[in-house]
Amino acid sequence: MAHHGGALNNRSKIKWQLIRPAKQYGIGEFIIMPIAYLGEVALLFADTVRAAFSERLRLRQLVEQMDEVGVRSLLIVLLTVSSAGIVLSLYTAKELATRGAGHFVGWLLAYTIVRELGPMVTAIVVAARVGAAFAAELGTMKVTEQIDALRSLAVDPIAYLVVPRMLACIIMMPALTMLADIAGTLSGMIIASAVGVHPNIFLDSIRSFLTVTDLLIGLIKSVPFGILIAIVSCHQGLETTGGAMGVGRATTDAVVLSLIFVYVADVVMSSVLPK
Amino acid sequence: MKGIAEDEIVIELDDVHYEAPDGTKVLSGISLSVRRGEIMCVIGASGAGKSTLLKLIAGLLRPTYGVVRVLGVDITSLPERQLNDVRKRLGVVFQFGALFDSLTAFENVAFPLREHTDMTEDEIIGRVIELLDAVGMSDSGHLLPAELSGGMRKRIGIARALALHPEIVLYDEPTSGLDPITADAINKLISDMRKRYGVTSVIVTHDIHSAFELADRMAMLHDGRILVCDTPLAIRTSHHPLVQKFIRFGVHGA
Repeated sequence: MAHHGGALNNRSKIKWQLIRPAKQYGIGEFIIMPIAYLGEVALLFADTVRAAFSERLRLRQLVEQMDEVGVRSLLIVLLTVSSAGIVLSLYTAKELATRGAGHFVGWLLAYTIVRELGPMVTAIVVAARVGAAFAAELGTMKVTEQIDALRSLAVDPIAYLVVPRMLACIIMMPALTMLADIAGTLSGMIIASAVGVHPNIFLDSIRSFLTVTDLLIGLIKSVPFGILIAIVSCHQGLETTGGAMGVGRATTDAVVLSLIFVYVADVVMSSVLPK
Repeated sequence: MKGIAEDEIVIELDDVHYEAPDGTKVLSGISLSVRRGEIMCVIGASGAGKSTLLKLIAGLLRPTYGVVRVLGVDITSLPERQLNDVRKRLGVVFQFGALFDSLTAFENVAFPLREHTDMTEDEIIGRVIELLDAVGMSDSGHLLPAELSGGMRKRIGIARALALHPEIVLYDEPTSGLDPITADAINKLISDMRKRYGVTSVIVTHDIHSAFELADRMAMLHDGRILVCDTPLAIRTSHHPLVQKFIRFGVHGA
């Protein structure tokens, strides 16, 4: 904006200046931008871990976030996993029972739920609910200079804002997943009993085939999911620019990016962790 | 309003350039020094880079080129952790207050005390009441920022910035958008802080009347450069055409 001289009496020129040109990206940017983004997220994670160990823990913030991530997400997590358990049971229980494989129904359902559906559905719900909340809150703080205010008061925004959010996710994700596993399996059991698989057979099947490893792997998976959701969403929030519109964009991006990260992490972990 | 200024320089900018992340040149070659106890007003049109200048002094932005020294420390590329030691001796009053909106006015003012001091709860309450009193807000401690008017938010922001007895206070548009009575009260508060505690103030404003009233020296920012930096009297009698235009029309039209 260096020169605004008298050359602007040409109308069409003014008009063109009023229209913000679309940003042009070359091939190079298409390759570099995702790598730079991953680098930024990794750096924020490293800074958060460092701050978690080097700074005192803000207990009040942690408790507030555990309430937000855990308690307030519980109902919708249970509802979503239960509906998945019900549908799964509707599709499989009767088919298996009529073919004489009724004693596999319980195991099949529980295995699918604790290994995959429980942690995954919990992560999706938390990404949508909590990821959006993190990005919107931090984004608003960014555009209203509250993040600058924190820094000017010699308080590290990562220690004050990101650490409690990440810890809350690390603590609450396995807890939510555990409860989701139970709700999903029980709702599956109710449906199965309605189509002829007695609850005793259902539970017997779980007892004889499901291993502790299955359960643990599901719970272990939920921890990286929680870390990814927290870091990706907080990063979007802290990088917000452009007022209310920017906050909206950051919120949407936080949910979409969190989901992508969760999907990729799920595929990677499911292929690496013991079957 | 002169005479208290000692010779110790507490803020020094040496040929500071700043380029925004999108490539816009905001500041191009600012050199400025502020003495202890001085009230320095930086005036200029909106978008001239005034807020950027304050953020560079507070270490919230890093210059693209040049050196920033605050309280004798070169903060140009100082790691955030060491920078925090400098920031504890420096208060920033943001344009719209930048109050933490999940905390009440009281908790906002108590925030730096809780973070950085070992004061007991009783001592904190005492200090916060004293600060709220100083900005004329002792009845509003229980309110959330959303329940406060713009001027009230600004005053709470000032109270928060003063909580740790800073040696330097940076004000971003402390009186803009306020009614004349509130603006006058804030101006009084700023000169009072200097009288009582010898606080050094840098005030960024386009309220030229407040600037003339408060300043020991004024710097006029235009197009990323300092056009002139002198006493209010010298500025008033300057023959520079732009300076005259600023004074006559205020800086909105410049």
